[in-house]
Amino acid sequence: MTTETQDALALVALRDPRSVAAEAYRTLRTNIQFSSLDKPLHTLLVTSTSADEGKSTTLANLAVTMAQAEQRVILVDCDLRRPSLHTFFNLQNEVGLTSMILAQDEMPTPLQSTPIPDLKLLASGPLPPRPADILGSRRMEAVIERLRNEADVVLFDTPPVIAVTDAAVLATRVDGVLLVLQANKTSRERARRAREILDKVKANVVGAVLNNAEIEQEYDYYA
Amino acid sequence: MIDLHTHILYDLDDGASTLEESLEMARIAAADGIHTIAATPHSPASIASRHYSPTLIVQRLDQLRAALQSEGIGLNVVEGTEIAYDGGIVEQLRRGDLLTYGSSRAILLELSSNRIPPTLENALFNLQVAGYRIVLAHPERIVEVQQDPNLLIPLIERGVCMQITASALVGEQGRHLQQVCETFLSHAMVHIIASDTHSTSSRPPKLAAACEYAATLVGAAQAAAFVTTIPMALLQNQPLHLPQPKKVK
Repeated sequence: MTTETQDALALVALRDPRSVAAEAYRTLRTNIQFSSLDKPLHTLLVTSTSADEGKSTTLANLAVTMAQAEQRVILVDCDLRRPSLHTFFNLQNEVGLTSMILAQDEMPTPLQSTPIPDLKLLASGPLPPRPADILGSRRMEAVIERLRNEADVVLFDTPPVIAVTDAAVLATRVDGVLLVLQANKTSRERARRAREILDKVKANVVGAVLNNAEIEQEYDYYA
Repeated sequence: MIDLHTHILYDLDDGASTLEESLEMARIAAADGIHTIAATPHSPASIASRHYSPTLIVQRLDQLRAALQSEGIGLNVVEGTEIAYDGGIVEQLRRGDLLTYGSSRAILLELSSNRIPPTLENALFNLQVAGYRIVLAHPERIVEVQQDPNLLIPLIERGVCMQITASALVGEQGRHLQQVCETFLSHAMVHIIASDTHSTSSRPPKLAAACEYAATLVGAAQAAAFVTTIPMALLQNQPLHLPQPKKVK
């Protein structure tokens, strides 16, 4: 009936760690680690060029994979338009990031536990009328600082970078940005446009993930 | 079953006018299979309100509970308010000038019957950040929503629960409103069915027939949830899993 079960199945890194897909996420984790050896990435933002490119699925699986390697990971849902990270873990999003940003008094970080001990979720919280204002606020900066101190890696999910400014606003405040593209769907033009937007705000784009790429036959050998 | 929208308390608004009438409504509700009722008198911002104060409501509630007990009517009554959309709701709730449902963080919100106010998203955000959960009373009556039910989607995606009226669903308010309710149901835009009872005759406090009617459209389990588990989760501050609404094409 609801989409929750489906989303839980999308966590292949948790459900089937020996699968080719889970192995791909581990490779992604390693590549991210090696992408900036001199300056480790503590905060990483993930975005896409348009909806349905598998951005949140990629991020949630990457988070699981990092936590499996005993890094303390916090996943933050900054997609304040269509938040979905909570659905992967069957959790709620009534209290989360925006609650924390707008709290009148200092509140403890409303983190939720997941089945993976080292992985915590900061869900979206109530959806604001103007998400970019919240993400660009000074209080958001303070929240990022706080999260940095509470985990080894903080991963941010954001809306697609071309449609709205939210991702670009936040991109300048994190150590690195990962762009998710979909094979046979994302056009070169859109990928280039996304890159331009991120370059313009001087974001540190550490790489791109190509989802749904054809896997060549011989790779099955490792499955 | 639980009825989250009633005007059962007497002489507060356009609902029951005497304690006897309140009792008669309670009898009808209990006979229909309702075990818990929320008394939701109109807030002062509504033209239908006559007297409103949380103290008065609690007094009337105690009086009704005592009468129910001496009459042997097995019905729980919790307090609430049908809050007319207005500026400053958060502050009034915080000060205790408006009531939530019982001891929960859920409120019943009513909009004017012509349109969704442009400031609504902002107001919902302020309410939710302050920790309140929102039930929207009878969205089927809003003219703009009748014309375009998809206007409810962003509200549902923000976690607002939609309460339709039992008598509207069974056709007692005309075929047009019934069709609107049916459209909501077949697009996962309904979460609660309530009576919005005002007297023993006008929209009587009955849910069973509407629940049965809803079952023909969404199945028995989902229909039952509208009058049992979902209202219960709201009264008890339990998690809610609202399915993604479908777009009306």
